[in-house]
Amino acid sequence: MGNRLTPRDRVVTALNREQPDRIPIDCGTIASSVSNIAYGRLAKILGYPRELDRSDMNDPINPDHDLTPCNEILELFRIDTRSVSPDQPIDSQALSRTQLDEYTYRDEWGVIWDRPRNEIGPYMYRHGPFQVDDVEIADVEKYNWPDAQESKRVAGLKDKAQKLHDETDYAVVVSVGHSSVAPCQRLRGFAEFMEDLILRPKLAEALLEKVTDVIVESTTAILKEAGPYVDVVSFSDDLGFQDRAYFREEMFQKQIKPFLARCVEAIHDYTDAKAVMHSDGAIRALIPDLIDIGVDAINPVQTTAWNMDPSQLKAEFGKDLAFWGAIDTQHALPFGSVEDVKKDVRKKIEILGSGGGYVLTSCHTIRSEVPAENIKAMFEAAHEFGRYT
Amino acid sequence: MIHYETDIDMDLEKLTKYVVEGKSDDAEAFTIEALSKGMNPKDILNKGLIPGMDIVGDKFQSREYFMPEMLVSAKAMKKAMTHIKPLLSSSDTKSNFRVICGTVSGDLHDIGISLVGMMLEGAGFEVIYLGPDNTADDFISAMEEKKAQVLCMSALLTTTIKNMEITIQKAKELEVRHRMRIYVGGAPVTKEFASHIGADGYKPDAASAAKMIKKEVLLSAKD
Repeated sequence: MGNRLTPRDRVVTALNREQPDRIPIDCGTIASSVSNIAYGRLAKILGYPRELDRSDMNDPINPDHDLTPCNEILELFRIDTRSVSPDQPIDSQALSRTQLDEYTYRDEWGVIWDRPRNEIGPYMYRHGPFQVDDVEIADVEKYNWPDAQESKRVAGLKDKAQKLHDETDYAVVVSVGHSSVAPCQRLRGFAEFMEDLILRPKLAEALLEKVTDVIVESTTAILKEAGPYVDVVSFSDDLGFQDRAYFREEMFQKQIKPFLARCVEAIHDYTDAKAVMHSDGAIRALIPDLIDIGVDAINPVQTTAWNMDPSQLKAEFGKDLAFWGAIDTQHALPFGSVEDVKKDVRKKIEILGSGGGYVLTSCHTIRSEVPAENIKAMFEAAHEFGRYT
Repeated sequence: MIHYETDIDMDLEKLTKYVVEGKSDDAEAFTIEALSKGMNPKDILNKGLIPGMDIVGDKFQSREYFMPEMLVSAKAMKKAMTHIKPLLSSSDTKSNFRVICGTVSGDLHDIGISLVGMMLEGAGFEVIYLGPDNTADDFISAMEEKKAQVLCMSALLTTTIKNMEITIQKAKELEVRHRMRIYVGGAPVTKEFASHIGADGYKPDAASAAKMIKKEVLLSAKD
């Protein structure tokens, strides 16, 4: 393919598992944003010192968080994607939050999050409203769930999406938040929800049902506005550890998959865009089921997790699934040299990019300690080694 | 001296099976009945419950069991233990080995380390769980205060694993390093990193970590 494609066509071609002109590159849309601390150093070496004064760079109650680089830097690295978001989406990552003190907030699902006291670090969910022994199905039923129908949820979304679609040729990405599992873990407690799947399956089911109802409504509301203008819809969940998936395949298929299927169906019902699912960890055993429910690509492709060898993933699933992410954030980016990063980029391009089917970016958000030189090297190497012709 | 019956018609393999299958109520009922018939709590622990958690650990390691099954089995053991623990003297158990578990400063991801703690408890150790976000001083003063021999530190973030080295250095500075075995784990930790910072051991998953610690600590006790 000798012709130069637009960024949008490049991404869509790759997600159709066909070969574009070069490997498309993402930054800042699907788990690929940059910690404000690392971004400060990056902006400096690239010659954009005014970025250090951005209001979201210096937020005392949010000292370590992810952000998307400015448009000039995205253009410098010839990033093919741009994200669009509603002003206040339903999202269990808690974009809408009530700060309780300097270290703690409550999200709109009622989950309490806190950040480390001893040093700067990101927030983590700590306690959920159903994390009590005597919780009953009735408590779940009558809970005050977030209202997905509120018009403020999608305020401004359609205009922003349409503008990006009509006036630029970037691939437009919208996130619809989480699918069913992660919110349940936060609401009920990680271990408690796991135990419920065996000991109180009806309670787990009721919680999954209610959470999925909210997600489907919210996804529908978002895509009714943005659906015609976006190329990619992303959603996140949490299905794997470093060394294994969270669940046995049979348990996943019986108790979890039907709810995830509803989330993905809500995406495909309202848009022709591709559905990209984010889940960290060793999820290989679950991938056939994800393909089955209509997932077009997976992110972040954590090749450092158990049994997630990229060659095997590509050989086994590359016919039906595209890959988005994969550049090693556990070793090469934070602790490796510029050469290590380049080597990893080249390897992932050769393996996952073979014949198309790969959008390159960091395997998860770039954390605060990652050297600016390594971030720069990742994007430069993506161009250096990413041409198909 | 408490007298225990030696000839009780109750099959401890049944209790082992309840733990493996995660049957909390059955494990508890069996334990209550066995105690009421005069069975030695030490036997209930060492011949019923611990073998159960050993099997669970093996099944987890071979990926026959996943997190839900592991948690439910640990719950069954815990429920039985609530009846046994008050009756045990420290010489009956491995509880003369105390283990401190926690995540390092700046890191709130404590699922993995809880699992390691749970498995060590399942092996009969006394586990003192510090929870997330512990500085070097937190770890070392807890080790001293609880007279613990083993420290297990965990981190998920690449930003925080440096704090493992800081803790080990601090222990050296305070000249207490030789009194403790220090194990490290978590997603970004590697064997090379563990040996570079001077930890005593590392394993990539909770089950093999617990197995290694159990083996090494018991071996060192024989020295």
